[in-house]
Amino acid sequence: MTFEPKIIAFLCNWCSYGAADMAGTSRLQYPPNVRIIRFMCSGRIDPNFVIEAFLRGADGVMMTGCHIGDCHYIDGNYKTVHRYEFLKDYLDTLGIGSERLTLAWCSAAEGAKFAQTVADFTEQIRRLGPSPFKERGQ
Amino acid sequence: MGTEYWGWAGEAHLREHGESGGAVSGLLASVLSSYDEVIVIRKTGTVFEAEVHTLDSPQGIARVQGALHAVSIELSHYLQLGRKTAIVLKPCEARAVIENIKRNHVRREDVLLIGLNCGGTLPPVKTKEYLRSQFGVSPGDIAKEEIAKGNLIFFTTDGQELSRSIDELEEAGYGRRESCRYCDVKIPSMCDIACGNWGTPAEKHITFLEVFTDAGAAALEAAVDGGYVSVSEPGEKLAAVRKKIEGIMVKMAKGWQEKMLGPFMAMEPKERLDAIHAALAPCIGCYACRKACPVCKCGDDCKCFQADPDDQLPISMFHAVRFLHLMESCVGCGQCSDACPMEIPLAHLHQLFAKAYEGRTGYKPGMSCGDIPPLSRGDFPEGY
Amino acid sequence: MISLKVTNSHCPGCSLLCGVQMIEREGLLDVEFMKDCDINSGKLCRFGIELARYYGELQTSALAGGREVSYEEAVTLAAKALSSSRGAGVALCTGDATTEELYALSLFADAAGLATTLGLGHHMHAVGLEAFHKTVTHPDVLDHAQMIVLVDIDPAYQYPLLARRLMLVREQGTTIVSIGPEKEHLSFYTDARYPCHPSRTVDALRAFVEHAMPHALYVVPCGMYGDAALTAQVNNICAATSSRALFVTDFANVRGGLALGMESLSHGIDGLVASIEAGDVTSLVLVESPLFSSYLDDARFWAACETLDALVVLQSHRCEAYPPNAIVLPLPPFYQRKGTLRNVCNRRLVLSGEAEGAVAVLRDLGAAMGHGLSPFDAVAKEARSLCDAWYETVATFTPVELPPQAGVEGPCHRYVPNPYLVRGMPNPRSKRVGLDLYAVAKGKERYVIREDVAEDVVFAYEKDPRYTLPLQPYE
Repeated sequence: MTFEPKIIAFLCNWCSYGAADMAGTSRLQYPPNVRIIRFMCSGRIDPNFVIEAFLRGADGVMMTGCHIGDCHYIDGNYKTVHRYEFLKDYLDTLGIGSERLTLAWCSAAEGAKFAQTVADFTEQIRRLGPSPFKERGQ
Repeated sequence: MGTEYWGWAGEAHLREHGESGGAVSGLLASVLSSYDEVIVIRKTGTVFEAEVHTLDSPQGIARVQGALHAVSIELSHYLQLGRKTAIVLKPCEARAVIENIKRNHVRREDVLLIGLNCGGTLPPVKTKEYLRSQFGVSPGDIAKEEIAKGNLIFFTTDGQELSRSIDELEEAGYGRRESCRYCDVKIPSMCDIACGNWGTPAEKHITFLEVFTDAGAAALEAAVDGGYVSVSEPGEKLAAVRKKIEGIMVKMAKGWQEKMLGPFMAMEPKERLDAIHAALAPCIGCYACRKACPVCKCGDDCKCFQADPDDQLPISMFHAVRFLHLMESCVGCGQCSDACPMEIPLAHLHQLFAKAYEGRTGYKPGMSCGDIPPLSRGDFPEGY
Repeated sequence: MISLKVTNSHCPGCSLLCGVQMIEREGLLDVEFMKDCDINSGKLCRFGIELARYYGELQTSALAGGREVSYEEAVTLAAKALSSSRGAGVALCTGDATTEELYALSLFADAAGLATTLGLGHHMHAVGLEAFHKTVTHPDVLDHAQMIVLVDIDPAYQYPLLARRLMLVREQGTTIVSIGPEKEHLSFYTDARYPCHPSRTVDALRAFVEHAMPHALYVVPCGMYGDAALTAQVNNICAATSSRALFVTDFANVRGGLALGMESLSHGIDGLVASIEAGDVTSLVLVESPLFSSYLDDARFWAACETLDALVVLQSHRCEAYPPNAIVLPLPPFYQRKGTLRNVCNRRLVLSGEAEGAVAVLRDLGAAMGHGLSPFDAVAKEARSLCDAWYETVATFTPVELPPQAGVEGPCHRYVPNPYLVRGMPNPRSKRVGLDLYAVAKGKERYVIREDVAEDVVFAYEKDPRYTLPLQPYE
């Protein structure tokens, strides 16, 4: 059986969820491996959510939001960036690997970009194989 | 780099009985007039027994102990918001206070941090065992201990001097606490005043004082004006010796870091995950590490605490969240390892994360109140 | 003036008596690690960490007839009730008291014509008090044993600081073997495990004697709900192989009480309840006894207590409720008392508080009944000399006949009463399972029967096919 990655995507309500919506209404094909969780702002994505996603068996996690400067809460996504950078170090040290986490900006008009990001990330995770937590049979 | 002095207590009694000329005791006596309380450690029996103590009058200052190497009580727990407090601290405790200040648990202007130079502390039970087995001395007969020139020296009540090289001790599994071995902050430059006997002439009882802040300068000036402390310019040569001692100590610490954390960092990511998993396996969920941690102050609302400890995850959320939070704030005091009933080397694990982050970004927790904790940053991100 | 008071104390959670510093700061109580303590190097289990909460639930006022009364009034009422009691009386202590308090209790009981007992639990009658006498071992017994056999005990869960000692002695080369239901953390400090269903532990133990080293140390839990047959079997093995046993108890100072010659309940708490029901016992003095909150069959106990002429309760930790006829006299919390303790390794430890605790209350009670009690220092001196004399006697084990085993399925290993549960503080690590079982168990017998438990509550030994296999060490 080929490995089908399980990816959790945290989307912000205003831009990236709009982008996902756009991708859908535009009938763009993207891999079905991604499970979407909507937040009001990417700044709400607590690092704990990302960690818990990995601990509960996700192979990859996507954090997406509005472009810098476009945040509906002005600077919510600044925080996202700092947390993302911090989480990358955390995941590297823990041994999960920062390449299993990605940050992408998609405006509500960028349905195609969203679909492409998901496709690329899924491919990346497929290459990396299952999360090390999964291999212990959890 | 602060202003350097040699200092000693003005009062003859303190000069005699206080350590290194009693400058710290003198300073505390003076500070009492402008601060609500002074938090210190007080010896209660042998050099292994002490308790936290608050002073509100100059009586009993002579009983205060600055550097009991075999006592590692974490004093920063006793600071309270909104109270003007002077506190005598080791570098790790001072760093913990700074981390608390960053998170608004304490206000910088309320506290006077009197730091002590620290070459490391000893685990009391192991040290007592060592005294019994190697020297045949009862721990009760020890009048004083000292770490000097790479040696651990015990003075017994009948005047004997027992000395061993620290390196030798640590090779044999005794010596300083493990977290102290690789701690690379020896002079607490984040304090208002750093005190110690490095860089003072051996035959004289004086303290080397380095003042870093205005509050520290004011406190020292008041002490000098009030006749509690006398100061002089330090000998230039000996001031350089102090820097040299610090340099040697830090170099030793870096060596230990290489030795203790290096193997972990050299592992493949997968191996490292397995190693962390195996180390945490004996955890019984007692939360002692959290209780002992000087920077973990969120109380019952903390995110690490809301996870079910029996969640059956590969690494429980409790530890995963604590790794995350302490990656930006672990001061490496080793209290968690000391408190763990299952002997999990928690301080190693937390330092593994903190040092990895420090290595990449240069952010060292507890060094300056001006540093914003990375997880709290909301400034414009460059490069995005 | 800012108050900060530090008291060097010992944790009352179990018979290990870990060192701990209690810090009182502006009316708030907190725990500080006492790192120079040889027993635990300052480390504490969950119960120790939460000691401030335990000490926060205090019995602060005297009660009589279900309402608050003044202390003097309660003493007068208690003395009157005890004097007018028709039949025999029993003075019972769990052991959460200093040696001085226990001695004062036995002095008081002698004067008032009561029998003194230690509320150790129903299974000690199997081997009687003698077995306990014969467990006399020198301090640090764990450090000197060549082989340690853990019998149906889960140290990491029941006595975490014992688990730590086991881990340390194993590093020194001691062989550690476990017999009994498989527990979560055993692999960290055992060399071989003989897993078996709880009801077969006695057989397993009998089979084990073949491989047993002489001069081994058997570690057996001895709580309120242990297994009588198991205790007897350990006793017999110790007699046959000149081994020793370490009975670890849930209560602080049981060793002190035994050294003073206090009897262990001859028929357990069940026996006591039966005698009350039969009308043989008509007055009861309870000192630091958690029976109203943690005795599983408490409804029966409660009903029996209501028939008593005199029920006098000396208590520091608050119970939710007392029978209406109870006369409750408050005691200061454990850490505020002065006196000595004996821990499981027979070390003499000192409590450095200031309060006399039950000694003072019993003195007042005695005075009201017309008997005097010596001042604290005299009591302490006598108690100490009695204790020392007991510890100097060298005893050996003699075989006893095995009592019949309880005819029920046996306690689920997840529900082993431990300091957390005995004192009404569930261990959060097993919060879900523990509390469910506790709730089920409280309404029923002390043994949990499969049919009574919800489907999703797992009996750990059921899950594992290994328990159905013949006995052999694995891995």
